[in-house]
Amino acid sequence: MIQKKSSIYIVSSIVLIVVVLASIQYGAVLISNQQMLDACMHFFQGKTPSSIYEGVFLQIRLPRVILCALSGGILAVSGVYMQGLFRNPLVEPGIIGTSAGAAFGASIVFVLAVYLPIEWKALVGPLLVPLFAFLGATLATFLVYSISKSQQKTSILSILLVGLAINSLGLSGMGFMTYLARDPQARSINFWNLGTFSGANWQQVSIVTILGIFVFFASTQFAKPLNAMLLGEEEAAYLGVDLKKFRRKILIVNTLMVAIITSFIGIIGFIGLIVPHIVRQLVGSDHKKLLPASVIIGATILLLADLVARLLLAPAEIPIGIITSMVGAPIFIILLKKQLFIKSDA
Amino acid sequence: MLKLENIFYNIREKSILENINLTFEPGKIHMILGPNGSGKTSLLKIASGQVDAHQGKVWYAQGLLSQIDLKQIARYRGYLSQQNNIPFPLKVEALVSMGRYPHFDFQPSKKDVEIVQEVLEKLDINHLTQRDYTTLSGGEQQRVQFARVLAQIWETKEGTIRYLFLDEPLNNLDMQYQKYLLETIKSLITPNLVIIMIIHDLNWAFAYADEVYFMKEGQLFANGHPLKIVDELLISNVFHIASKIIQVPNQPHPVVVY
Repeated sequence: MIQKKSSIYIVSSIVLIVVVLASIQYGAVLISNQQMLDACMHFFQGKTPSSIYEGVFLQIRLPRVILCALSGGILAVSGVYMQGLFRNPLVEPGIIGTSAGAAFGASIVFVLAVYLPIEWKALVGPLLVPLFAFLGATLATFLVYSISKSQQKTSILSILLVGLAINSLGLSGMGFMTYLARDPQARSINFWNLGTFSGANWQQVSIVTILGIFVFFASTQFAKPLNAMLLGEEEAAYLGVDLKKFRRKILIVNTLMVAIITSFIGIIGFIGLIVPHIVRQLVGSDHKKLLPASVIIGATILLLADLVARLLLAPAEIPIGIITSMVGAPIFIILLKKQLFIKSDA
Repeated sequence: MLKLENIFYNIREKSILENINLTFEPGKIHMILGPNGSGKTSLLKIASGQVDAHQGKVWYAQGLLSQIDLKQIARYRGYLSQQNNIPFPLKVEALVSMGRYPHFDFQPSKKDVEIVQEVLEKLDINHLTQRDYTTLSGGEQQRVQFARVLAQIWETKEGTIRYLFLDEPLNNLDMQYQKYLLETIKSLITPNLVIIMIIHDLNWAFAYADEVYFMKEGQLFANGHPLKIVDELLISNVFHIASKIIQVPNQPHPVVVY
């Protein structure tokens, strides 16, 4: 039994490595192993890249793949957090409006930043988008959580409906910003609305890496209380979980995660839904296993989605959010049907 | 010892509990009875620290309840509730092990593992350990949850008073397991364990309670040893039904028919 469980980590890690290598190689241009090696050699020797392929590898492909892997892991963890908090497998940041709130916040900066004085822009520019995304995501999360908790018993339907409303509020806010925007801006908002890694750069990679380390340490703390929450909120409290504190902590960490990721890559739905669902089948519901396995498999699945997004209509690129939604929506419907069926059966 | 002092509790202006003063002693089984909506569950939740009373104090042997650390109290106070649904598949063994959560930080100790094993044996659910909790019958789920709560307060430092709360633990159980559960609870009695449970069946109260408490419209109507205080008048006052208490030959306690 134990052997079987740990072999899942080994196998999924190997798969991840293979997918990472494939993602680096394939795209609009094919990069050979020799070119990758050369690029690395030149980089460490401090020389400038000797060919365009090396430049593509170092400045475009590599940051894109790393950002994509980290984002997949973090979005999957976000799904695990939210499902644990709401005690429901149908919840994830894209569905209950967290991502839409973040995207709306970010789009405000995107459109209105042109009116900022140049000196200001240089000073706070890079921080403004994540900050506004965080504010938007916080507002959305707070609304969904407080409205759905205000009833005596929270049903999944009420969470989903409130999430639906918040989602369309966020998206229409974004639509309004698009309307205000000038044409080139509007086009990029629209693209980013559907999620894309095409703008990945090393600055984003470093910020998301720091975020990832932070999430790792937070998760080691959250695993036990999340497990206790499986039993129910009251039961968790009887097991010594300080519910108020725990809820606040996990909501803040989650919102921060979703806000930063969304401000860089836009809305990518359903990863937080698909991944925990698959991983639960593999390792069970214990968050000590669920969280690390979700990181590995989340990274793998998002990389695969990105690969499909890049290759399907190459050299053109499809927004990755379209791919994840096409796979995620049917899974969501199946899960929803299953749950409503069980409920009405009882 | 557990002491409730001048407890008042409202939900949206509606008075749920009024001026409750009670002392629950260790080494006894305390059973709370009363009609639906009489405040039994609120009383249990206030006494166990899940809900704060609007007025009054709850005293544990360890001090004033509101001042005891949440993590500390989780080591000697367990609560079995009525609602037991879990949204995700979970192995029975993992669920029962969660009872030990207040006792370790990251990894359960060898002792924690042993206690889980002892409890599984005590409740005769060893054969269920590898099953998924969500696929069990209602009665099996109830026993698994009870095992978890028992594991939580199984053993503490010498002399620490422990508290076990059970909210209608006989729900979902067939007659055999009702009796089995009550016998198990009886076998738990030690001088350092306070057992408080809500129950509906007076006949079980006659057989197993050391003290009974009758709640009516948010107030304590009567309390004492069941054989001393329960009579047809009391039943009609509390439950508004006519009944008959009958002595059965060669049985240690009477039965109620209604």
